[in-house]
This record gives sequence, C-alpha cells and structure tokens, in this order.
Amino acid sequence: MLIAIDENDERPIYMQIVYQVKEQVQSGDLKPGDTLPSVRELGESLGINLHTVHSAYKRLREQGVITLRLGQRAKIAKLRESPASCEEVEAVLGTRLKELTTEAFHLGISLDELRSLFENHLEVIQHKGV
Amino acid sequence: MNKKLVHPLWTHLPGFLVLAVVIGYLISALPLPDEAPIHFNFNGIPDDYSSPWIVVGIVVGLSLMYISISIIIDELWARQEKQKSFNWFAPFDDITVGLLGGVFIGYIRKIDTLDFTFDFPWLEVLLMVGLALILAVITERARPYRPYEEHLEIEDVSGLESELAKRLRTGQKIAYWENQDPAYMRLLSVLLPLIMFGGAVANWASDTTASILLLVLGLLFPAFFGGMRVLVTRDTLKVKLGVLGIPLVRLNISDIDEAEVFSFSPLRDFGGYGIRMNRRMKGYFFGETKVSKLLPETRRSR
Repeated sequence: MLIAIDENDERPIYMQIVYQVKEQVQSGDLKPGDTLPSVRELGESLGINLHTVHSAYKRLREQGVITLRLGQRAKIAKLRESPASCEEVEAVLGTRLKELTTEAFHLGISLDELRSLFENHLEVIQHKGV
Repeated sequence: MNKKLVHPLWTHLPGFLVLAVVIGYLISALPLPDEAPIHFNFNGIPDDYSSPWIVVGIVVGLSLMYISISIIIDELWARQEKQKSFNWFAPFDDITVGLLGGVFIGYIRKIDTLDFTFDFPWLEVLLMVGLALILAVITERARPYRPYEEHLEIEDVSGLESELAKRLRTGQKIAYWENQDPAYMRLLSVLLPLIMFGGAVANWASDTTASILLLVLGLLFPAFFGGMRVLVTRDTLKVKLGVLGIPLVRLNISDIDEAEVFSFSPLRDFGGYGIRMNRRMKGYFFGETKVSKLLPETRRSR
C-alpha cells in the first residue's frame, strides 16, 4: 500500500488517505483480506497526527472498505457482491455528480463534452482491466 | 521448482549402487523366515518379533527417502554455484544408505540364528559406508559445472518510478507498507507453542530443564505472529517481524543507490521461505514472490 500526502491538495489529509486506499482497492493493488498498517505506524511514517489516520480508517470502515476488529489490524473488506441500492448510489454519488456538472458549466464545458470526458476516463479504467 | 535439473542425476548412482548391493544380498538370503526379531533393546536383545519384510521395507524406503532429499539439496547447491566447488552435502545420501545397508546386511546374516543378539556390524557398515563414500567423492569431483540460467524476471516499474519521483519532488510525504502474513505462519505461531507447552507440561516431572527450554522456545514463537512487514518512508526502509515489531532491517534511503523489482521462486532461488541467503543476496519473505533488490552505495548487493 502506497500512501502519499500532498499538503497542497485542497482535500483534508484523512480524505486523501481514504481516497488512495479506495483507489488501490479498485486497481487491485489491495485485495480483500490484505492488512493495513496500524494507526500508529501509518501516522508516524507520514508524520501526521494519529487522530487523522484514525478518522480515515473510521471513514473507510463506515463505507465498508475495511474491517476493524479489536486487537487486529485493519483489513480490506470483501468486495460488494451486488451493486448498492439506487438510494445509496444517489446519496453517495448524486451530490458529487451535481458538483461536477456545475464545475463543468463554470469551465465552459458543455454537457456533451463532459459526457465524452467521462467516457474517456471510463475507457482508461477498463483498459487497465479494473 | 524448475523441472530441468542443473546437477546430473548420475551423481546419486553410488546411493543406488549400495541399495542394489543390499537388495542383491537380500535375494541371496531368500527365503526369509516368517517371523524374526525386528526391534532390539540397547543390549541388542530382541524385544519385538514380526515379519522381517517390515525391516526390508523400512531400509529400502528410508534409503529412497534420503536419496530424494539429497537430490533436492544437491540441486540447490548446483543452482547457487558461481564456479565448480566441492559439494560437501553430496555424500550425505550415500553415507546414510551405506550405513543402513551395512546394518541391514549384518541383520540378514544373523536372521536365522536361534539365539539372535544384535551386535553392531562394524565390518559390514565400514565396508558399505567406505564404498559409498569413495564413489560419492569420485562422482562429486566428476560432476561438471553447469551455470544456472537465472529466471529472475525484472519488472518494468518505470511508471511507478516516475510517479514516485514526481511525488518526492513536490515534497509529498510518502509511506509504503506491505505485510506478509500467510495462513501457514499464523497457524505455526499458534500451533507450535501449544505443542511445546504441552510437551513441557507432560515432561516436567521427568526432565525439568528440557521443559523449561520448551517453555522459553514456546514463548518466543508468538513473536512471529503478525508476519513480516516492510515500511518505506522518504528517509528509511524498515523490515519488522511479528506483533512485537522485532527490527530485522533498517536502511537509510540515502544509502540505497539503486533498486529493481523482480519475480522469484522462493524454493528455486533461496531454498524456501523465511530469512534466507544465497550467494548473491539476502531475502526476507514469508509468502511473496516479488521483491525489491536494493543495491547500496557500497555496491554490495543485498
């Protein structure tokens, strides 16, 4: 697992960790059952507050990405066997999709161009075999 | 393990030859009695009787087992040779088969004796072991040197390299973490101490010192629980073992001049798992087959 913290990134540090763990699960670099470093180990390695790492792990657990058990290291959880419900998808992605369209508007991109950009990204992901 | 053997199998002929002599002697001694002593106490007095074919089976079975083990050991030796060197393990199977064969011939010679007392057959053993040893040394010396073709597959990590370089240039904090904790290690870390504690308790009255030793060893094993992990930051590379985090390796990144990632076979290239060494490098692995080879600035490979 490779975690890099960019202090110029607008996102809070714990969200950077959350995103990178999720990204590595998506790419297959992290597989279900793989263990993660302890909060202390990761905090000390990155030189960040332990509470920040704890927040990231807590968020990952809430999202079902990792499992946390007392006395054990955090582990990558099993992948979903069936897609999330429409309500859940809407709750997680709806707001962000709305934000995307707004950003696209302010960048002067039409909805068709945004769609094409999105499809290009999907093709890259599919090409990687993810 | 690669199927193509580097060392020639004829180097094991002395072991098979001794076995052939033993079988030849057995054939000349046929038929064997239906029942004969098959076990003796320290004074050589029989304390168990059964079919002597059991002894035949044990001697032939053990001989084949030792020859098989020797084939593996000699192959590992040959694969790690940089130039021809005498393999001191080569006579291992021949001496063992010779010893077994000598004892067996001594046994067969007395099998029809009514008052069977087993005296160690020094003459037969010396003859068989001597013959086996001489032939083993001759074949080992005659063994040709065959350079082993490396199968290490160097991975293309240029993408990762440029990504890391970019992150390091922009001052990002990085942490790479990998844990090797396969199921067999978890099982061993629990099972072995339990067996040791059980043995210590069972033998406490008869041998307290050995029991204490077993307890101490048993207490050490859980230290392996949690596997082996690698942690790399901008400044250091650390390898730690078990829940206690016993430090195995600590390298300053500035001391590493070069690194490459390659695939390997634990058995073929290092002879197994754990903390292993071959002639060119030292490896720390419990379960993976992909590794970073680090070349320190002194150019001594690890």
